[in-house]
Amino acid sequence: MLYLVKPIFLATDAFIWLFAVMLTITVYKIKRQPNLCKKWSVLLQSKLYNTCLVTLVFFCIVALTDSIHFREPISETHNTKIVYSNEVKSLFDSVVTPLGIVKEQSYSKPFATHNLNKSYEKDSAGNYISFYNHLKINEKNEPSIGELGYEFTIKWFKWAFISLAVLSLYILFKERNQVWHRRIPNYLTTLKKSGVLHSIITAIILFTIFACLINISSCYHVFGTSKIGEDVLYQTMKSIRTGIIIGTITTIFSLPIAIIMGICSGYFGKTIDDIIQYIYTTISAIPGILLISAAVLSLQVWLGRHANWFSSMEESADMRLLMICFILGITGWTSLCRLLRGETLKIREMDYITAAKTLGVSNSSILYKHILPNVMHIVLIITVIDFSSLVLAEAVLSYIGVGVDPSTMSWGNMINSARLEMAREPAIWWSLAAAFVFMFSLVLAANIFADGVRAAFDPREKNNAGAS
Amino acid sequence: MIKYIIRRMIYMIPILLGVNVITFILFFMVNTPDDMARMQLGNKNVTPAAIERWKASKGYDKPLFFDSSKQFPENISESLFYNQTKKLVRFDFGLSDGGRDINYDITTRMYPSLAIAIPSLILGLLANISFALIIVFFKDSYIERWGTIICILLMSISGLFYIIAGQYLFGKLWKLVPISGYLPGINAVYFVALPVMIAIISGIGSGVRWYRSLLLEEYFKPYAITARAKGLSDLQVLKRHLLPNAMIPIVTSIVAILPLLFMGSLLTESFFGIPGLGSYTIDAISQQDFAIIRVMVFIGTLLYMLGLMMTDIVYTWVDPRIRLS
Repeated sequence: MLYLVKPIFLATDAFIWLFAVMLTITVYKIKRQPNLCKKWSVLLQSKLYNTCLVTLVFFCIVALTDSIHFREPISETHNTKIVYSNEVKSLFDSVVTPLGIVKEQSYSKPFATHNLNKSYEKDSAGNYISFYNHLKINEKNEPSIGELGYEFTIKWFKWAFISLAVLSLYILFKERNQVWHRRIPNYLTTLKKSGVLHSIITAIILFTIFACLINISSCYHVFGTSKIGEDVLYQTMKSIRTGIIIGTITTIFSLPIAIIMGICSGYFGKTIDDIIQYIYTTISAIPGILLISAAVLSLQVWLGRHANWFSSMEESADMRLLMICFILGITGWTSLCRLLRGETLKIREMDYITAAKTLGVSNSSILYKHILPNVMHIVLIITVIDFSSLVLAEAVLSYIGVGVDPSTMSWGNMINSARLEMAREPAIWWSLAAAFVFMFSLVLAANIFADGVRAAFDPREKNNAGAS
Repeated sequence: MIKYIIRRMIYMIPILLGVNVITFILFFMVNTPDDMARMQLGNKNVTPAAIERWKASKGYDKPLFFDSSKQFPENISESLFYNQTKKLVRFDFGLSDGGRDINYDITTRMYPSLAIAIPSLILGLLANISFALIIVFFKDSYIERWGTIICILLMSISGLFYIIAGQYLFGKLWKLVPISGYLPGINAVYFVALPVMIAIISGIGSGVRWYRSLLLEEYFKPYAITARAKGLSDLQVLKRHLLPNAMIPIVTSIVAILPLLFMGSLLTESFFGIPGLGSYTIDAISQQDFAIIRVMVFIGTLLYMLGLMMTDIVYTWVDPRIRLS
């Protein structure tokens, strides 16, 4: 029987892959420009920024593997027609199976000790007494942490040995113009100088932690389970995709508007400038969160009216996520636009622009060839800074009730549903803690990296550092 | 000066009109009065007659922009857009979709919002500026290094975490303050203490970093180098030269947000159950009460524009180099 999966294309999947492709093209373009290449290599030689970038890339890889959706065929059917299951899975789900399968009834070990629901029993006097049942540990004869750890270490070393062997063969082949015993040390020194060695080590550590978590979670709930018995680790890992999507797709919507409006307004001046300034002043005059929630509420009603457009719940939830990105993008471009306008005003007066004009270069090619490359550093800095605030904003929006669909796994939804459980006695903290820890690590990496990007690309920072 | 203020006020009119058009499009065209009626009356089993009655009672049954069946002044004055705009401009906000008087709600809910917002602003400012001064004073030392690292750490934590952790520690575990609620008068102190503290802590990361960058920008200016070269101590340079000059952007940015204090803080107020304008807005959003949201957007915009105008005026006052053109 053919074992083929049926791919499902969600709108956000398309956008996040589009973003990944665009990012790859940008990296290739940067590699061909020596001046940009130098700035990036200085940035990546710093161990701190290097680690942060690798962490961000790791999160992005998780999000990307989580963005390939499909439906699996049901294996029991023996007919010629293949029947697909209704459940939409992603590649990430298959990698981490059996993590996504709900096995528990409610909160469970290791953090919970008692059953959430009361049990009733007759005592000797014939009265019903109620009590909370103890959750039994190791009722299924699971392997102990020690056994799991032993197995994992063996596996880890096996894979490490294989990859090391392959790598050494590759190096020996690649550096074949050297004496054979100098080949590996030489290669390692070049790697170390460019900071790649550090990235590799960070990646290995991150991957080990990830694999370790997945391995343990096949028998244990590392972060416990939620109220309805879902594994919290699985929830937080699935939330990575939502966070990354909000952070990246929003920029796909906001960057083109901000860049085109900003440089046109600064370059052409006069009426165009007045109109664009009016538009962005008007939009920025409305308190941000109010505009966002008003837009989300209105579009939600509009989507509700057209519920028949979507064939499944996943699609409508996905459309809502895309819509939120769109709204955040439409409302969030004003500050970047203002900065770009100011910078373009300065560049417009430069001699090389005057020279280009006298030589008869058209406006569009001046904008594209002379002005755009000279304001790109602002775009880069603002985009990286905005990324972290967008990830944080998602949680707040979900709390207010204008965030992603309740069925979408996101940190905001996790926090929102676990928030009231803190009031229980004893407090149920693991769901919150997991969401906050993952969100914190993503936002921290993004914030530190943003700092590095600003230090490397903002000419003002260089002046400050140079004077000291 | 008065001429300048008047000109600025005239400049506000097209922007307010633009905001009004945006909210009108969102609330009456994307989301039609029919949808609103259905939502208020319950989604199922609504007769068309009931929807029409509801719309007529709210005045939503008029045509959107233009009534083509009437003559010139009436064809515009009988439209929904004209009537809604007229009400907002007169500050006559009418009843919410839930049937409460919005004007009354706003005037009573303003004070709890201010009781939180003003102490958070003043204490937060003091904390931010003093930490920024300490970091700049110990420039190029481990204090600066660790100070900036702690700032980034504090910045990266979600504001929700501070609120939830604060309520758990101070309210539930140590029982120092009530977890949520509000009392008018002097007793408000018990209820306000924790929200204010959390507002300060959650703002301290980005605040200190911003003030530090303002101070550092002045740090390398020629006048500061001259002052150090002629033998002034670091403390004196900081106190007499850097701080006054850095105060210009600080003061103007504070003036810009002063009017917005009325709006209250959405998250803090709703988490701590404080009956201010912030929680009013959140309730309106969660009940999908578009009448209230529209009013809050209008007031917010008005206050923002007021803040911008005050900033410009204060600029000329604190920085004598800027002459009004």
